[in-house]
This record gives sequence, structure tokens and C-alpha cells, in this order.
Amino acid sequence: MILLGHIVSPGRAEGEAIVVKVPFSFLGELDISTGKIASPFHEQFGQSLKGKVLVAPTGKGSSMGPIISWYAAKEGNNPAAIICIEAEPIIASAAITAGIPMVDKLNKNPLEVIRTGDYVKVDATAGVVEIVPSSEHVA
Amino acid sequence: MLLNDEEKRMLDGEYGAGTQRAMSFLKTLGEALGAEKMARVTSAHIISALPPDYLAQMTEGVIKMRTMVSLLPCFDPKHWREKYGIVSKEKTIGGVGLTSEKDYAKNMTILRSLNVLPTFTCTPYTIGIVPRRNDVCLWAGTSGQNVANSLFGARAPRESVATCLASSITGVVPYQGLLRPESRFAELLINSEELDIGNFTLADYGALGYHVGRIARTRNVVFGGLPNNMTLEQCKSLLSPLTVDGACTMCHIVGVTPEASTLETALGGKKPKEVVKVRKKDIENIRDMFTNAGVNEVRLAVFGCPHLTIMELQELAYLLVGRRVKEETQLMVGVSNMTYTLAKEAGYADTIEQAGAIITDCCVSGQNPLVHIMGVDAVATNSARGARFFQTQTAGRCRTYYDDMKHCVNLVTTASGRSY
Repeated sequence: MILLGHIVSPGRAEGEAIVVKVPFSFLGELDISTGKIASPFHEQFGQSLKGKVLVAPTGKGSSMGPIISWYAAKEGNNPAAIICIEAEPIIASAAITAGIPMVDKLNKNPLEVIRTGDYVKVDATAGVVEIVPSSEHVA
Repeated sequence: MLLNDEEKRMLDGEYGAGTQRAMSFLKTLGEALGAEKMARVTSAHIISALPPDYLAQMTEGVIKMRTMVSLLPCFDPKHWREKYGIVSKEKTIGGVGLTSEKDYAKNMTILRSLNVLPTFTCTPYTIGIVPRRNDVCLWAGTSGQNVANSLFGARAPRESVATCLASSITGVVPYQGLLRPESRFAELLINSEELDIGNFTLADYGALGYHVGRIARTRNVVFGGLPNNMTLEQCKSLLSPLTVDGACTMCHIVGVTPEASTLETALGGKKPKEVVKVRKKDIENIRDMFTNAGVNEVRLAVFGCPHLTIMELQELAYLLVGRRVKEETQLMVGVSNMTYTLAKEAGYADTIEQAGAIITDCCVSGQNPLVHIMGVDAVATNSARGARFFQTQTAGRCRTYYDDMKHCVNLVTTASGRSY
């Protein structure tokens, strides 16, 4: 499936999707030294975001997000790309600062059409997202 | 995005590599957020605990900041080692702030050379940096953003510390979000009729703010039924947790917020998109969520997330008269140095310190050295913002006990036996 969206942070990346149902905060939710979801209060606590395509409704929380994404980038522990329903400024600037490709405002709700485990190609320079369902993807 | 000639010169590198990077970042961000132009900035507030290589890159070739810039509180590793024997770690789960002495000194040398004001507080509005209506405030620290909008009628867009730094360097910011008058109206009406607001403590206000922020997400809200004579401290407690698990940066309080003389004005003459009723049970649930440590487990009480006002220090001093911090516990208070100076003059600081408490201008939640370096794992606080930060930024290791200041003080102190 091909989706068209709006560019937040240019670049291209692909990987397995991890879909989170609640807004995402780099501070408090990304463990920079492992790339895992750090908050035990998060439904997906302990799951890795490293090298994956993070799909979230939007961002939330602290303005320190770009500091976390900068440090995580050095350790190679950031998500490969981010897709949001609609970005808010802090998650957008965390992505831009760390060079994480990111798109939002797709022509379909990404939380409804992308499932955790699907293989997703994000072209955030053209604003195009390709979804290969997990059943069809051959690693 | 349309840039004026000066902005184009910055983007073309005429003012050096750092200014060019800052303008390039702002242009990319502006395009992402649908801005068509830049707006002039009135003041900026940033943090010194930036990655040193990042700060060095962004300020390369910069001779001075293009607006007034002040600083958030920050863990000063040399001070904590010399005064308390606490040696910083390179990293925590959150990774913000607990830098080495070398990195701290490197960053402060850059920032001081650019005349950034060493205010070290998350409540600049308590030390004379008081925004006027419509001032454009690029204030890192989301609690300050919310207060600037909701109490002072300033235009403080929800922006990250990276944007605030880039705006300090360039003097401009993408014209979007809360900078646009039409984006400032409330969408959600919060019905608090069921709540006994008249008897709310600051901890209750904090629980209310946290609960509403989580529901509101990025939307603006209006409270219809709060008293129009709310104190600064009540407003601070309500507003500061709105952005902890939410992103609500404009909260109209009818009769308090300059743009909310009436409910209709706050809503821009429209019907609310949603009405959210808050029940007593919701407040109890949040208080329970922030109370996952038992009374006997508490090793530290913390006040000052955000930094305390002089009246909060006065209250704390009253509570500590004739009391002493217990041997096995600690009490930490976060205030700006300017407020501390006033508290010293007024006698409050002596009362608090003689009781055995630590008063600091450090960030007492996200960068609290006792929690993040010394490993304290049970903290009592009256701050909803602080409680959630302790829980999440330690990956759950640190548990919290949530109640008003008086009860938290009682947990960590005992009668001193001294007569007054």
C-alpha cells in the first residue's frame, strides 16, 4: 500500500513498524543507551524502537526531546523513521535535530493502516510511505 | 516559506556556520509546521545542559545572541562535588543534564561569552522576566511556556529546546501555532463543577492539570469554573503538569487569562468542540498513580518543580519552625538564586536551612542529583510534574508519594526540641 503525506524531516529510511497508540515523548520514553521504551507506564515498555519505523498519533511532553534524539543518534539507538497523524513542534524538532526522516498528515490514518511488524519504507524527501504487510515481507 | 533579506543572509552563511545551521533548522521546522514566514522573538529561555558538540556547532561564529536569552536550572557538577561530595554520572535513562564538569564548563563558557543570563530557573516570571501581552517568548521548559501564554497573554509557542536555541541565535521563529491569534482559542471546555475547588490544595490543582493535559493532548482548553482570584502558586500548580503527558500549552482560566475575560471570549465565540467533565474520582486516580511509595519508604521530600515562589518558601519556612529533617531522610527545595536572596533577607532561607534542608537552584526533578546519581528511590512531593518526571525518567525505579507540602514535610521531619 502506498500512502502520501507531508514532509516533516527529510530523508529516507525503512524498517519494521512499531505502532504506539499514545503520543510519544523522547524524554522519559526513549532509553538512549538501548533504544528501548524506557517508561514502565507505557503499554509497550521494554520494546525496542532502534532502527524501527515509529508510528504514533503525535508528540507530547518535555521540550528536551532533541537532546535525547541527539544523544541516541550517536549511539545508533533512534527509530529509523517516524510517522505521525500530525506532528507537534517538539517531536518534529527532535526528528530534524537528529536527522530522523519523518512524515505526517498521510492520506490515511497511519494508526489504522499500519500494524506493528509491517515493513515500512519512508521517503520523507518525497512524502511517500510504502507499507508491506508483515505477511508479505521477506527479510 | 518566505524569508526576508536578513533571514536569507543568515541562511546563506553570511553570519557564520552556526547562524546558518540555526536558520536552516528553523526553515525546515517552519515548513514542517506550515509557517509562511518568521516572527521576531522578544525573549528566549534555554538550557545549558545541551550536548557540548551540538552547542558548539550551533554557536560556531556567533558573536552575540539576537534577543534576550536566559537559562533554565541546571545541575552544576563542580558545585555538587565540592559541597556535597556527589560526583556526576555521564548518563541517565533520560540523559539530560547530568553532564561532566568538563562539559558543563565548556557549555557555560560559550553561553557566558554570548551574554546569556545565568538565571538558572524554570520560573523566569518570578525573577522579573515577566512577559507582556503578545510578547513572543521562546521559552524552553514547557511549564514556562504554558504560564507565559495562560497567565500573561504572551505568545509562547510549544517549541523544543533546539528551537529556542536557534531562535536565540537568529532572533526569529516560524510564525505558527500559538503565535497566530486564531490558534489561541480554546477547543475543549473543562467542566469542574463536581470538584470541591474551594478546598483544593496545590497537589489537587496539580492532579487536575495532569489529568486534563493527558486528555487535551495538543488542544487548547478552557476552565469555566475556577476562581478568578487564583493565586500565582495555584496557577503554577495547575498549568505546569499540562504538558507532562500532554502537549496542551494554552489553558484559559476565565477571569485570570488575559484572553479569557469570559468563557465566550476564550472560545472565540464558538461552541466548544468537546466538553470534558472532571470527576472527584479522576483526581483521586491521579493522586493514587503518583503515590506508589509507602509513607515509611520515603527518603526525600522535594519541592520546587517548577521552582518555588517567595510565598511558597514562606509557607515552607512556617512549616519548618521547630522541626528538623530526620537523620535517614532529606528535604530538597528548588528556587532561583534571586528568590533565594530575597528569602535570605526575609529570614525564610535560614529557617529552612537550619532545619536541615538543601536549598538549590538546580532542577530538582529531571536532574535531581539525589535521585539520579545517589539512587534515592522514594520521593514525596506536592508537584504533579515532578512526580511524573521522577517515575518516568528513572524507568520506574523511583517511586513517589504525592500530597500537599505540609504532609510531605511531616514525612521527612521531626520536632527539633528547640523552643521558639
